[in-house]
Amino acid sequence: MLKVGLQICLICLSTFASAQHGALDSKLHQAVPNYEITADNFIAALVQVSDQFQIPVGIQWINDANARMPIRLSLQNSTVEGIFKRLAASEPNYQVMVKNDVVHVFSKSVPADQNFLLLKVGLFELRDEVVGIGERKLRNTVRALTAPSSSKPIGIGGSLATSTNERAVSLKLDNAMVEDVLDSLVTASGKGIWIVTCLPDSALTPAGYRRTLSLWSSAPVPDEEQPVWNIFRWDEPLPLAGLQVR
Amino acid sequence: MPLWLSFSGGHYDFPVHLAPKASQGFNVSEIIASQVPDSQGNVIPASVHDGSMKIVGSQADNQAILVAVDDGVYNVQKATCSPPQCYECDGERQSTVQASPFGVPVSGSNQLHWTLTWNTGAQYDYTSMNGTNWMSDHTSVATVQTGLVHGVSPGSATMSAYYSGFVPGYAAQICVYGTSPCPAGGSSSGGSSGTVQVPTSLSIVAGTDSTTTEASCAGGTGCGCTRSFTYQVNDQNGSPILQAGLNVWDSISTSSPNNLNLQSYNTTCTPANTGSCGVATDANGQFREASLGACAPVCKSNNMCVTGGPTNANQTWHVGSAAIVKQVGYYCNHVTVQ
Repeated sequence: MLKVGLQICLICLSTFASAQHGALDSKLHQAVPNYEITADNFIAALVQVSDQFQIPVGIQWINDANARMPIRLSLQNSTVEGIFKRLAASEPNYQVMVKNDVVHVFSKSVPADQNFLLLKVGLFELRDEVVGIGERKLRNTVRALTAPSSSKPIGIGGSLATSTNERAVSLKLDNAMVEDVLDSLVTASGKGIWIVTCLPDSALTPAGYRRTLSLWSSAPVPDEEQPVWNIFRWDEPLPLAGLQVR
Repeated sequence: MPLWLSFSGGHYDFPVHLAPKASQGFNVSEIIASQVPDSQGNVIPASVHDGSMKIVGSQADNQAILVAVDDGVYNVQKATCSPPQCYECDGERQSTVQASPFGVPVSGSNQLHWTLTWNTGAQYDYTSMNGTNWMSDHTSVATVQTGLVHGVSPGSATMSAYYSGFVPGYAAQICVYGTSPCPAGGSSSGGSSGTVQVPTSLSIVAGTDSTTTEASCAGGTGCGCTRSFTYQVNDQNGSPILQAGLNVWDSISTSSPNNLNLQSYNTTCTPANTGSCGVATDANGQFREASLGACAPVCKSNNMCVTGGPTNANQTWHVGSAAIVKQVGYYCNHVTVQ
């Protein structure tokens, strides 16, 4: 009986995932006869398109001088996917890929062995918790994975403020990469956007990963707090303090 | 200018077109006799012998109009004239400013609404009426424009509204010989006192507090616990600040003792101590503390969770432009907040 129940449940999940994928697919292939976009910079342009068409996105970008330049594009007879691709092509060495029902826009300039998004985090589980808790769990996991093996476990205290209307989510991923977990967090919560902002210089963290910064802060992120990312709701104004970190 | 003729069981609208300084007479008996329906199809039954008449402006019930009325009643059976006439004068009975008392944060705003209620139950919004002026008695505390109060500095202030146009005064039914006894009416005023609020304290909202223990954390080497609850932001008088959008972030530093040997703190924003990161109060001035807790190897011994603590810490909450310090005590299986 249990086995039958599980099978039914798996079929349901598969059907749900397929339906979700179908929905994203149809959004991405939506015809856009005329489209104009004006944005302060590359990341603002991507977020604008994501927000306008309600497309979940995961972005890994490099905060260099090119990407900070204002963007103005006009497209005719395109699709939503075409807009993302055209935007990605406006900057050197970016690529668009659809994975986990999320459109990924990422810089090919970050080598795989310096990219913490490709780290495998083993089992990752959230039970009825807000995204902020999930982010903290993921951050602690990543730091444990990237910490020097000689370091001893230490006591950690903490606190986490969230808005009262944060939606609680449940998810379970096994042997997933960091980017898969971020995809699940933004799709399960309905927030829609995750962004990893890399510093333009190629200096690495002591663990050998590309340095990152928060769009909320103009202060550099110290080694012990690396790496960082930001998750946003579609309708949330994009903070740009982090663009001042050069 | 409509005349509303009311009688037992119905009413009849009789439009009168009056040019400035013009006069017009009419005979109610003739209106009844004609049996011409009004704009809503009503007629006055021939059996009606008494009733009342109400004169209103053509645009609204509270439109100021100036008319002189001279009336007479002729009793055809007794051949007598002019018994005492009974008047009921519609007008303002209540002036209300909402909210009263009001609260407004420093640099924030709160829209007040001034309403005049007539004896008929009709309500009229005079907040931004042409002729309405708003004043603050302490502009160094709060300023006001068309009812929108702007907080300048912490303190108390009273906002007053004054309408310089004509508002008719109400009078209950009075029967007199001669001219109308209705009050002259005139200007009107209202007011509201309130506080320009500054975030001063945080209180835990009842029924939102829970603690869970964690039997394995820090890569399985420690035990700990997490407490979660909802905070209410309060002002200098302990009253809640009902303001959405106050940015909230925190920083934590160990005081003494540090019995859990906590070496670092995760706080709301990363990187720590560099400002807000998108968390803000809701419309009730509340936010959620979702994970106040600790995980420590000293809380685990022989693969079992043990009791221990405290590590005392000062947690500084930045709420808007204010800083509020809470003393936190971290233990292995619970967390205290002062």
